[in-house]
Amino acid sequence: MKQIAPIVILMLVISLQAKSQEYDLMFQTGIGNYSMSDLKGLNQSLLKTLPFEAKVVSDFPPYWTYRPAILVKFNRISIGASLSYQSTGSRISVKDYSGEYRFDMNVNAISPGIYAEVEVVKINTLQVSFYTSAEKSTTRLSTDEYFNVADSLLINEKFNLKAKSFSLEPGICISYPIMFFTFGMNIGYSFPMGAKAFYLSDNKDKTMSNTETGKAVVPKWEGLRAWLTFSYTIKKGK
Amino acid sequence: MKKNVTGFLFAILTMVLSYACKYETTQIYIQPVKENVTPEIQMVALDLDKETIYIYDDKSIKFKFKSPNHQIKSVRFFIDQTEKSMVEADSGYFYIDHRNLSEGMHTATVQIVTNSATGSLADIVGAETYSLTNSWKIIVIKNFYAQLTSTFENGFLKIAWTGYLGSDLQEFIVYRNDYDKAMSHTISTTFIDSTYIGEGTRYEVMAVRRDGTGIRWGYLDVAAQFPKVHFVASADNKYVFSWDKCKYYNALQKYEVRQSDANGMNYKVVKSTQYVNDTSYVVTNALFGDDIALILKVVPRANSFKANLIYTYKYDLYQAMTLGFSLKRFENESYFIPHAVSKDEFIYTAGYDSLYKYSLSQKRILDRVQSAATSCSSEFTSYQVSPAGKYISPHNFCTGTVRFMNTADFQHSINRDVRVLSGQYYFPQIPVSDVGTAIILNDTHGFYVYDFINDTQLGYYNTGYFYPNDVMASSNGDYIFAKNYNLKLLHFSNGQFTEIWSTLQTTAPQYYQFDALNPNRLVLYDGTTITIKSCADFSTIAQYPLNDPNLVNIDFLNQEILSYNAGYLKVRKLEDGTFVSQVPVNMNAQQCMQSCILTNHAIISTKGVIYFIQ
Repeated sequence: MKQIAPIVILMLVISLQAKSQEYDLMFQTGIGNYSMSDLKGLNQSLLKTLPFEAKVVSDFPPYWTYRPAILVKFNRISIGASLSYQSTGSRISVKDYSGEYRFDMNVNAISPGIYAEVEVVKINTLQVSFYTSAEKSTTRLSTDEYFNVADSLLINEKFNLKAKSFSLEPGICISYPIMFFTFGMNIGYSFPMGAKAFYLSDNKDKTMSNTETGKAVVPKWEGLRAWLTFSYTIKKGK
Repeated sequence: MKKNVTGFLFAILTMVLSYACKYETTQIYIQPVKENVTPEIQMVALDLDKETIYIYDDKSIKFKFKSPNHQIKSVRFFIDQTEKSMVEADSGYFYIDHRNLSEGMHTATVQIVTNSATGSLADIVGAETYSLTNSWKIIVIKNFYAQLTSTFENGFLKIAWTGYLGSDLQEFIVYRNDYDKAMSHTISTTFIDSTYIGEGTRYEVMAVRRDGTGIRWGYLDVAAQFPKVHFVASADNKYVFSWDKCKYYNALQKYEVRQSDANGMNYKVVKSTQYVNDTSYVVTNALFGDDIALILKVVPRANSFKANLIYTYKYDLYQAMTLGFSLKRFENESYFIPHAVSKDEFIYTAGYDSLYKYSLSQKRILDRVQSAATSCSSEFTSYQVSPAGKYISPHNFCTGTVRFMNTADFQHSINRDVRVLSGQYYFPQIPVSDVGTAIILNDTHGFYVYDFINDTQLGYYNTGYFYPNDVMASSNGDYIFAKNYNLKLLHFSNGQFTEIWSTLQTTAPQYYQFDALNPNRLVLYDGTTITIKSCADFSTIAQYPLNDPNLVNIDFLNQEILSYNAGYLKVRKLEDGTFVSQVPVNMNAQQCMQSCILTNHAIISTKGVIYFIQ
């Protein structure tokens, strides 16, 4: 919540202090495709070290993402604060009558940012706009390794890690306003703009690296984004 | 304001809802596994190949197992259900500590642990295994090292030992302590030594197992059993050296006899025979009285262990002897001083403490008496015999008494203390006559005539200024030779002495003696001539030159002379010197005169041997 607080405050300030006549409360939801190449590499390295044959049954698949925002409209430009959330994960698994092994990595990020949109074409009431979102993400990674053989618990280890990263997501948006509501569809691509290695939540000095490659493991949320947008327009003084 | 609050609430709601929709997965991978995969163990090597294992000492057990479908994870070894070792491999060694196991039966168990081969997680991490066990009976044997047994078989020595009960025996190795390499490698429990002829040795048997280790199995000390050697001299003067047949005759190559010269030196081979039953050698090239030695060498067959056995003294049997018909009761008996006591008998001292009487015709000892003073010097080391041998008078220097003995019966004697006549500290030899009178020298330059039988003094003769150093009485006791600075012939009768003849010591004959058979005669020998004279008037009865340069002895009772001439002892008639017979000897004249007497046609040597003149 500490990460979210400045954004919430920024939203309130924008909504209360804007000189504009209109502002939008926007909520986006969609599907995000996440690269997570470092964490995938980590899974592959782990597979090689296991004495038995296991499989990656889930390897950071595309998953729902959400982004609320509050925007102030200045003619054809809307700009405001946003807060996106995305999550994905992986599992290495093997199980038989004698026991089970699994290694889960769940990763999610809360990304406060600045959202801007410029209307470029208006055909009747259908609007075509370019948008971009610049975000600073705080990624949380939780790992859970579990190994039980013949009712003997051999491994049960959990770790919580964090990492910081920046991204820029440009895209195009098609929207259709109806009275105070606007429905739209966005498509964009999130580019990484820098990331730092995961570190233990309770000890920043201990960072995560791939022992096979020796490289630091960083969150990579890079990938395609497809959004459905719902906005509610509020006009001041009305 | 109401719209602003609505917007704010909208923002918060959307954020919370979206935050709750976090990614999660429930997918799992169920891997396929094999079931009921029973392992098939193949034994490549295991030193426990019998159900019962006999343990004689520490033992390493080599093992190697193989399983085509399973991995052998470990092999564990138990004795009496106590784990002794574990090997985490499919091959290796177990160790049985013989010293720390009690004697008797134990149980050894081998447990083979394999993986389950199901491919399951538990199989892979080793939590799922198969276990196969097999057990053996172990019998621990201690104190098996023992003496072997030996028997005689077909002329050879055969040794035998107890068998090795285990199944891992490679061979037995037989050693002899006097050979430098093993005699036999065998799996039998017997061994015939074709090289052993009774010399005595030690055998050692080593049991060698297939793993190359050996244990001392047993030993045998065989005492020497060489043939005993014998020497027999017959009355016809044939000397035969013989020996028992070699017990281990089939191992014999030959007998070899070597003989020394007359002085016991310079050996020469005098016989060599390969016939085991040819066990005698008649001594040749040696004469009566020779001190020779014979060596019998029992030569074993040449073998690869020791080629030149003939040059080792181990196989020599030594026999030293004096040629002649022996008086000796045992090999090293010595000190023989013979004196004739009758026509057929003589007495002699042997072993310093005993006096024997021997019959030449019967060729046996007739009587024996032992010295009374065994803790002092023997009374038989020096004694006088009456001319015809009827009495002897040994003087005991320890007690001071004289034992007056009749040679006809040693068991009856009279002890007389004559120190009142001789002087308290003077122990002269006591010449005695055949009638029981004796001459007792006195420490005051004279001598007494003493009657032993009646213990009376019969007379005293003062010899003058010098002690008499040689006195003798005639057979009847009535004539006496007394010699000091001159030699006198005295007649003694009724306590009175009458001088019949006298001569200076320097002109005295070499030999003078009373005739035992004719008490009134005496014999003189001056180096060339024998003169027989009458005691009564010293007249000459007979006189003849002795053709031999040396007079050795006169057998008065048989009237014969023993003389020496050029390597021969010659027997002649006393009456006229007629030659009777001769005996070749290697002794010189001096040796003959000191060592031989003639009695009843036999020569008795102080070496303890007799030569019967044929």
